[in-house]
Amino acid sequence: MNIIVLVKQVPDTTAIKIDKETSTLIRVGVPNIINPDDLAAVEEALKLKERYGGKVTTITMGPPQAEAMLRELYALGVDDAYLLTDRRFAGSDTWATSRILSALIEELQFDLIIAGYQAIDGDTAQVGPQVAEFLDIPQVTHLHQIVGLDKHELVVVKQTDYELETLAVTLPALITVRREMNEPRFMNAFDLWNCFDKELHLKTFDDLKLELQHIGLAGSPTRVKKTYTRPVMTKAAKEVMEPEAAAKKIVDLLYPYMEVKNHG
Amino acid sequence: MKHELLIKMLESYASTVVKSRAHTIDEEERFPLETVKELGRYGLLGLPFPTKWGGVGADTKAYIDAVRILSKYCATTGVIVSAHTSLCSHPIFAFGTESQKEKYLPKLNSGQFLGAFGLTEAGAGTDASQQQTKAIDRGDYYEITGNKIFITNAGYADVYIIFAVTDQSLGLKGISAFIVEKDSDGFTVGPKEKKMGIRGSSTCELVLQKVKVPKTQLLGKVGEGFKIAMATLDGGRIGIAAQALGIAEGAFERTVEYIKKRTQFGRPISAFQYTQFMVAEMKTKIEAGRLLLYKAVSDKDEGRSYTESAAMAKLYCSRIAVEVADQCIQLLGGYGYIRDYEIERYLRDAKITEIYEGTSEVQRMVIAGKVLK
Amino acid sequence: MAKLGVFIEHKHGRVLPVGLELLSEVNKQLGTREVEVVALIVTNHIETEELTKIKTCGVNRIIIVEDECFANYDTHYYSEALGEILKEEDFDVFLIGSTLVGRDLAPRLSAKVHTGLTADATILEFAGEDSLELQATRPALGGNIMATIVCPNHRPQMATIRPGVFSIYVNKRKGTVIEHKKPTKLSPSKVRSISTTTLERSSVDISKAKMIVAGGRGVATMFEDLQSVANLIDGEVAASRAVIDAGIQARERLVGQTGTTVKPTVYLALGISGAIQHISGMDKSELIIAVNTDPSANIFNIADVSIICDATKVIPYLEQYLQDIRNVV
Repeated sequence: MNIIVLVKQVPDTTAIKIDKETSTLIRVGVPNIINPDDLAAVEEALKLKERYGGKVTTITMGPPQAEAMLRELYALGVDDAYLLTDRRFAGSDTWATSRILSALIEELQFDLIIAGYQAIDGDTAQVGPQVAEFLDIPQVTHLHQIVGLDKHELVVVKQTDYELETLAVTLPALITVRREMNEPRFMNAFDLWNCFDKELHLKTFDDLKLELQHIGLAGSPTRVKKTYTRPVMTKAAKEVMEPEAAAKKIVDLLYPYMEVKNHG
Repeated sequence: MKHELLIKMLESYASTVVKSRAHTIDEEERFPLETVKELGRYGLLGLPFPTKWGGVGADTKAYIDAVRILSKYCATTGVIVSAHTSLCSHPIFAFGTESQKEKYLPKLNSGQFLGAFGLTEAGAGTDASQQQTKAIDRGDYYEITGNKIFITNAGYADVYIIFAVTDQSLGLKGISAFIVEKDSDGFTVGPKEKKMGIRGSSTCELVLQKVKVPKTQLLGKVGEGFKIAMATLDGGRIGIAAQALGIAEGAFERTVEYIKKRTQFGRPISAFQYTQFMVAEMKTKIEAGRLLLYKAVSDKDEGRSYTESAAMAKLYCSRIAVEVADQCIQLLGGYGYIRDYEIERYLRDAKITEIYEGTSEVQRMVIAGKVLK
Repeated sequence: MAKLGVFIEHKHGRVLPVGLELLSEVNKQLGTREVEVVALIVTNHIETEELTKIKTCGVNRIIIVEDECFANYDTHYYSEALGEILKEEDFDVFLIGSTLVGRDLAPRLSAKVHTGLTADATILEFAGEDSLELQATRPALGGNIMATIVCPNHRPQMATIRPGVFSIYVNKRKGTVIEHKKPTKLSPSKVRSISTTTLERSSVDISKAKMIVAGGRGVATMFEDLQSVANLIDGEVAASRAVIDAGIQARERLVGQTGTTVKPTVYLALGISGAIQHISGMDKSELIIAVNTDPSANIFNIADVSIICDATKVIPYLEQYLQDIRNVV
């Protein structure tokens, strides 16, 4: 099986703090990590390779520093890692990013594309389905489990709210997976030590069949108009309260986080 | 860069999986078979050997980083790797014939086989020359009879490097080394010792009753055994120094976290100057240990003699491991004495590093011997 | 006149609240602005009473795209059908609830018609004098910042909106027109459904809980009530060491240095004093609410909201108020 995995390097958003004085983000010292859903995707791909043979190829779009992440992917057992890097790609929204990724994928052989469900910095969950649309292949998103290959179909279990649905999708196809799906393996010393001899495939705009008007800021249908940090909850003083009032206050605080069941 | 990435990998594995098992395997005195399987899979049982032999092809530094980082979270896991790699795989690599290397190294390096080293006897500890185990030449095989005690990885190992007397009259030059497989007729493993620390590690007596060992299993030349044992222990020392340093680092890191949060008299106890001075001293000891350790490592990797530097590293790191672990318990106060808080185990684990693979007294003899020769 | 479309998701013919929430908010934000509001449903069959629900929230037109193949959600059939409608109708804005279906459908659709899509918006605003401009604001960077997104040059401006963010209220517009459409021939989908099972509730793992209701010595006798509260907010019950040692709760629920470390969105600490061993297991929670009778309790040093009160007296009210909410939603 030829499997392509879409992998993004992201800042560890759980390590981002807000400076309480200035209400700005403290991004210094926040480490870059492999997006957790994408790591799960790599793990699923490696498992499928162990079962059915074949090759695992990863594709990343990012700045040059993402090269270090490619070495980690090799250390996990990935066969080929691509980095799409070009100043002109900067500012791409999900539409433009998906265009760029699809341009490379079109030149490669694949039976299956596995993408992480969403990235922890953008949280949009858009790239997977957009790439599938550009490549005109079927998609199944938000998987719970990959059951296996059945001739030219991949049997999967999709997790919807409170339901598990078993589906069969005709290959080639694109699926998206979440971090909860598996326990990713650790890098192994065999691949790690020898991966520094492996080639990192770097591709720029000039290497791909793309139009300038479809990439970067200019190619992005959406624009960020403004950003702001959420108001920081400062530690309020201790309040003596009556039980009823205390309960009311607690419920007001809880409500925004409660799931109002928007499903069948 | 490779070393840094390896360290990242080691930390990610050890600080999660290994750490999560450390307490229970100590409480239950259970040998962590599942960990050994993973170590093999991740290449941690074959780090310093060439890829030709199924090893990772890394260097001593990579291997020592592994022992140290594993030991930070679980000293038992650290010694399993160290005994296997330094005391079994290494002598086969350094002294074995091509066919012996072919037969054993790929399996040892992949973790399919676990290794052990059988030198110590009831009457032969620090005075290792007093070997009583005998190997009688029976033509196309040797017949080995004797007892070995305090053998690490015993009962789980597939391959044992066994030392026995082939010619009593030649003294040190009458000792030979053999590769003995676990299922050999007449070879039995005694019950596990109940130890103060590294309780998950399996330490047993080996009983050899007329064990038939084919001549092809002789390691090195006849009479080379003692030389092989000493050379092997030189390298093993670096492993134990790494284990000791890891123990010290592990105890220290946990303690620093704790003292920043624990408040008494209206302040975190890390605010008190005496505590701060203790922290400074422990940090300095650990750094000094680290430098001695990695000096021995680079001596070995760069082809220089490392007997002296390895002995100094083990002597110092084992001492500071005991001291640092002791002080860390003191800083945790009553909680330091409670097993669930996983700090007292570090002291119990640390102590053995001053004893096995050459007591601290032996290390002093080695160092003085080099200086005063 | 500007035209705004809202996708109404349904399950087994029953309209999901999110579509109605969207219509309500759209009407609220549009105010007196003249905009044609159109609801779109893709289904095999819809009951009249469901259509009435949609009408109540305020629409000018309801387009029902009907075919057997739309009985259950399928990416291909739904996106093809909607793609056709979007081409015909020329919407300025098209909104979809960001349920799992919405998050599967919307990006596919946005790529199909080459337009911009904002995901998971929590605030919707309309600007522009002559044209209808959407400003959709959403959390980003793991929730650390809010970003306002616009789509200046492509139409329709698309956004998915989080369910449960907007309330539903009555907004009836005059004379709602209902249109039935049949899709033009759709190629067969390459995804087929084999079976469906309802999810079992897995065994306790408090480290995965987003909401935790934790009890200490102060509420030791009320853990059944704590479980009710937890159930009402889809959370998990946790406990301090004293409670575990007394055998009141299983070890899996222990939060602390020798138990589990948790990082939930909300940590409600009831009757917990906040010994360091406990705090070190939960101090990275996003929102910590603490209730304790003792003003000098250590938990108050790390809580975001500190309430001095007897937790055993607060719990019954909590149960009641939360149950009131669940009875409606």
